[in-house]
Amino acid sequence: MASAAGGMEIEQVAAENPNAILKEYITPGMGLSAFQARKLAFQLGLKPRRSTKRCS
Amino acid sequence: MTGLYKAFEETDSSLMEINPFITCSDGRLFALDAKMNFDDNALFRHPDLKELRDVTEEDPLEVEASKYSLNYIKLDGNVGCMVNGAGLAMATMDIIKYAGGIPANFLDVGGGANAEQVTHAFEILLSDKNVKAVLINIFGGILRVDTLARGVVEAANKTNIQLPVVLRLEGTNVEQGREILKESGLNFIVAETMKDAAEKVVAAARS
Repeated sequence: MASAAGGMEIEQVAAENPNAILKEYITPGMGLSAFQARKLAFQLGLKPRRSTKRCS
Repeated sequence: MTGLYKAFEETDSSLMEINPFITCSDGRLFALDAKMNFDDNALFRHPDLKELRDVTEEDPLEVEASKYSLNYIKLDGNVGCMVNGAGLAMATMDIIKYAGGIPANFLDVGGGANAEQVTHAFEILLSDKNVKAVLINIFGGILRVDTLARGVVEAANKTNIQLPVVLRLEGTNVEQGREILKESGLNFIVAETMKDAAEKVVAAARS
């Protein structure tokens, strides 16, 4: 689950604005796929060049 | 994100969360805080994580209970309950609520508890000062009712209990169990059914 509506009670976000909660289903045998992680990153509004770059 | 999932899987977590994370103006991402919950039942696979346990951060009664492999969760009410089996314990808490009371705890002594565990369980129950009455609801399957009865009597004598105790016992060796309780000379309230037991203990907690 991911949400750009951070710093708030997530239950409240889910009740008032369910679209702000992003969900991606992970098949245990497959694990989280790269395309799923990318999809979430784009939906969160991270810029493409950002989402491939991360802090260590 | 993939790293988070990998960590989640490798540590047998029940929850892993990064909140909040921020983006810097130069485009870098920072995770500012995180939360991790680990599965107690998988901790034996992670001795390094087990090392991190800080008992001073936990409820002292729950720590005490875990020493004797008892499943004890402290709650806000005043009706203490001791039950064998998690399912029956949940049902007991429900029926206490249904009878108008509030359970003071969840306590599952397990399917095969011995007298010593029962004694410790009783002591833990009574060390919660909010408890005004105690309900012991046991269906003796693997745990024998006479074993339980001996544990209860021993604990009652040891702790010099002043609170009303309601008992609902059923199952293997129930006759011997009742005999032991009768001979103990202690003042227990014996209930026939769960409903009866719940009503009696709630009434006792109110008085």
